[in-house]
Amino acid sequence: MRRWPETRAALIALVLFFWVIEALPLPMLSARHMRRDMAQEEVGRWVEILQGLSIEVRAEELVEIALTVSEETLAARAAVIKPFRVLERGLGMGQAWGLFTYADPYPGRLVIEATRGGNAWFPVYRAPNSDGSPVSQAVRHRRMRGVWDDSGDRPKPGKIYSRFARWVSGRVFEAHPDVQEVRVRLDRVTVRTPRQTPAKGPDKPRHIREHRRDGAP
Amino acid sequence: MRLWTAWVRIWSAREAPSVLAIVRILVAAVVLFDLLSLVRLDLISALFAPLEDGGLGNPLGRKNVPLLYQWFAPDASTAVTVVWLGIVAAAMLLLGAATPVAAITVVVVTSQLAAVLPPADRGIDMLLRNVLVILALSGCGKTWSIDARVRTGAWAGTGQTVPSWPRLLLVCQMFLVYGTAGVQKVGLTWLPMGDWSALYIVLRDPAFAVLSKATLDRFYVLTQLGTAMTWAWEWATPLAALAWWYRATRTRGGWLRAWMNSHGFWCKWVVVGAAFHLGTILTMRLGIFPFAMLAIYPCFFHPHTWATMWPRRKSPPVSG
Repeated sequence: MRRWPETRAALIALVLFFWVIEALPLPMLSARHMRRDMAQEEVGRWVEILQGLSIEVRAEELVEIALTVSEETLAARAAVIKPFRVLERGLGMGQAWGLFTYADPYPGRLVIEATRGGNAWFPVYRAPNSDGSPVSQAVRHRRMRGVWDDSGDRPKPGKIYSRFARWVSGRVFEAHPDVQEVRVRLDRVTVRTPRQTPAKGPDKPRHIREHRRDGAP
Repeated sequence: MRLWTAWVRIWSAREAPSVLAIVRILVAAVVLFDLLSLVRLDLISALFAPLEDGGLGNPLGRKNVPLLYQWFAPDASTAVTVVWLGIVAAAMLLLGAATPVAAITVVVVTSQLAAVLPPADRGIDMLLRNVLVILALSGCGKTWSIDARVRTGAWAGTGQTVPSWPRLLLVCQMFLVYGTAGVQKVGLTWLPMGDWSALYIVLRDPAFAVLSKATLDRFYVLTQLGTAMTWAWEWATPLAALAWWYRATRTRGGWLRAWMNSHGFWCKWVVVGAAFHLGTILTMRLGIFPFAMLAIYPCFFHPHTWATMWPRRKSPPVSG
């Protein structure tokens, strides 16, 4: 144990080395990410900036470069931190920190509506407003928000989004015994700053899922 | 060789356990609140049961089935039991009972919940696990804890010092969080080319919004200022790390060290960071995120510094 201070200092140096390599902000891009409106707009603006600096590059070329760099650097990092990741993974640890890296001007608005029959739909929840009801509180919980936001706020929603819609419909049926049908949507909102041209029209309804109390499609 | 000796000396320092104990109590309180909110809102089954038993995720359908469902029955009752295990462990951590075991139990429980439904696990949960592993290896239970009471007969312990390295490592962790978050803010809306509109756009996101569009439009300039300040503050993290080092070595020479110390650069950076998080509590719905981040903030200062900030209580006369 005479060598413990040295051993401890060496271990800490090793941990810090792996932390830094793991936290290096390398772009984790995929072709699917780059097809999104927000990414397309961002690429377009970067092309304009580069052209302003006399660097001629087309949007497709820029995307290709970004994807190649992303793939190769991520592979190199994965190889370096592999032994450390084995230890980390078991305890759900990691070093990927991106806090609002890109502000999304096309976020999703969760809307839940219900009807007691016919076409008279009434709102149960419309983000971000909450009436304090258990359903509102449940869908606003940060973990549940992660579920519907991650799987739903994209051009094609994932399976979990549909499961979420079925689950939350069940909650609404429980809370409102007279409700016959529930509709869940994740409308696309267009955020424009006061200095930009206002968005045309209302939110764009999308990813509509409807569930009837009797389970009929 | 001199560098190595200095490195060993830094990580061999000792200090009072008070700051680590405060971080332990605050972090445990945040985790406890978070897990109890799952119970209160009846979300455990939906989030953590397998698909076959009413869950939203499909952990049994994946190539790597989480250990939780390899070892125990893959049903909702297992999910409920594990969440309650996490609640008990978080309460024990808060009270400082079997502190290292409690901390590691919380880590294991939350990491298994994360494995069951990854989208329900956010970055802040991962950060809390990183912090809890460090706390488990530290002397955070040596004071203001049941452990201290059992071992020494006093809640505050005997005043025995503990290694400083866990607190220093927590500070390094925070530098990494803020520094890399800043470097990654390459979206043009964080920059003048995007009219510094990032904060405005984020505050308008219905998933997080608290303020109305009219209010945000009215105070658009303030959101721009907030965007620029957030970006600059996060990018200033390397300077903050330098200021932190200079503060710890204030007796040495150098004009930059003298300037940073005389201008209180470190304190200002920490205060601005805390103000940002307090601001997000008021303007965004981010769940436990700002509270969890603030729970780690006490580690930014040495126990001596905190002791000088607090009015000292007179020590009771020592009997016997």
